[in-house]
Amino acid sequence: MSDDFILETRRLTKSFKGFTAVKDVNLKVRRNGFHALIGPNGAGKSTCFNLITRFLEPTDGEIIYNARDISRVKAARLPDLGILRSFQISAVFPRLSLLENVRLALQQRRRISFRFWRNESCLNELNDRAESLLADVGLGGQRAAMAGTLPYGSKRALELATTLAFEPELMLLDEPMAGLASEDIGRIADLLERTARGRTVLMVEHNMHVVSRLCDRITVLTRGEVLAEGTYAEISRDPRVVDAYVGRTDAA
Amino acid sequence: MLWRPNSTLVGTAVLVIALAAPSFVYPVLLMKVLCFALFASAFNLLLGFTGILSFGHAMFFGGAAYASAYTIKVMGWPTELGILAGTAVAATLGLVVGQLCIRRKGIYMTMITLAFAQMTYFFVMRAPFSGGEDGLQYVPRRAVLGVIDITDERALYYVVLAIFLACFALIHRTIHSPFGQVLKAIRDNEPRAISLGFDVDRYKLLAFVLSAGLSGVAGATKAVVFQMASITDLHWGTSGEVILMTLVGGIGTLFGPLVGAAFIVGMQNRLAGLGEWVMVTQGLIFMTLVMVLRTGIVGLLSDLRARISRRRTV
Repeated sequence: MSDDFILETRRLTKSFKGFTAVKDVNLKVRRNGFHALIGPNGAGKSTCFNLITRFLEPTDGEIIYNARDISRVKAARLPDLGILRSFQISAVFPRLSLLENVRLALQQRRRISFRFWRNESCLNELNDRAESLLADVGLGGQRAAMAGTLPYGSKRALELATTLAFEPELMLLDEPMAGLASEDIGRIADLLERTARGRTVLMVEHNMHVVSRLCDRITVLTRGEVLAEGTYAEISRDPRVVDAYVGRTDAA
Repeated sequence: MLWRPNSTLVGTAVLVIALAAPSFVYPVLLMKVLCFALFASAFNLLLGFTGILSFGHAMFFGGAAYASAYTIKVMGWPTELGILAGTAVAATLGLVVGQLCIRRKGIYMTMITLAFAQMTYFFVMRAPFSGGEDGLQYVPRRAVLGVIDITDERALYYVVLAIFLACFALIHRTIHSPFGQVLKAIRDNEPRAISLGFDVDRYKLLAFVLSAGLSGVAGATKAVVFQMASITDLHWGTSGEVILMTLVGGIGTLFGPLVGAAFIVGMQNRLAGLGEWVMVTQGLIFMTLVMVLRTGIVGLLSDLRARISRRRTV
């Protein structure tokens, strides 16, 4: 396998009792690119995503990351390998402050997290780094606020700051624009474009404006199988894709 | 002027009251409050700070009570070793039950804790060494560390107070530690905690063992205070009672379980004269409290304080 690809799935398959949600999916994600996984509802995008992020066990097939088979690795091990995922619904810790949210990510890498006898003030040395990450996503100066009180767009930004604390090589984003107000979409897309430079992004996304703007490679799934792959221009001309998306192409 | 008590001041005041209390209140009642306050605080470490609802904590509390009563009475161990034995039994039980239940979620997890607690209850009830329905009575009060004569109830009170303070300090530290941060993260959003690389099952298991062990300290100490281990300590009603104490006092607050324990133990003491109507009266009071104070007594107090300080700053 060539070094050009950071992530590859080989014949990835997932069956739930008699129903095959993902079937023989071969996906190749180019290093340092923005790759989108799209498809109509029920196409198996989320299942595929949850397989790659190890929240689901594959029935068959392999997931190769940096020349290593990760198809049996625990989900909690992925951050150590440089893979971070996000969730459809913004995933913050609502009853922790913004600073604590980001600091948890920094803390995880320090291997001090089982020390129940240590005072949490030993975490203060991480504050500077956490604050600069908050400032990067435009949340500087709000460190003490509770994450649960933030507006939705800012929660997305906070989530991104937490993700970036890991300096991930590969970011897996599950519908990063879902639920955002239209004025926030541009802002979060800008933020993604800026902060994810030099990293690889694989995202499931419905918003075609965002996909066409950010992603250089698009894979279309229908009924659990890969229908087409290419650039946005190629995909949008593909009659099979137009077919699968009837009623949706004009929206894009 | 804004009244803003600082925590050192409040802490000192509470400590002074705690030291002077046996001059005004019957020491055994105070010790009962302390034991249940510790039990509820240990329980709250799971419910309030990790998001795990156990409906079987009586097995740790009662199991430790039996272990300490047995080692002290039958095996002739000194008091402090008996309490340690109770703690160890509870923590071990917590390790086994924790392993089996934390992988489940929500109500399934809760039912597993209840099932194990019921098994423990019936096992102890039938076991040859436990005294059946009578429990283990007449546990001797041997001098603590060989010098402190605890047949004197005031001396015993100060020993119990010291045990309580040490354990409460440990709980406080656990909540405010790097580990406590992870627990709160798991409580708030478990999938996100996993995606950040935390092996949540191991954190939950450690929290479970800590909570079980500290509940064990409470149960073992109670056995020394009342000089007996009773089957009601293992009954599911005790598991329910500790949930109520936490609810009434305030889930996820540091002092809520203490207030809840004092409130409920005090109330049971006051209402004892009502005879059969105790349960009915208690039920009504709980219903009212849970419906009116959704954040518990401590939640209500901090709401009031916030409201007062807001009004004064306006």
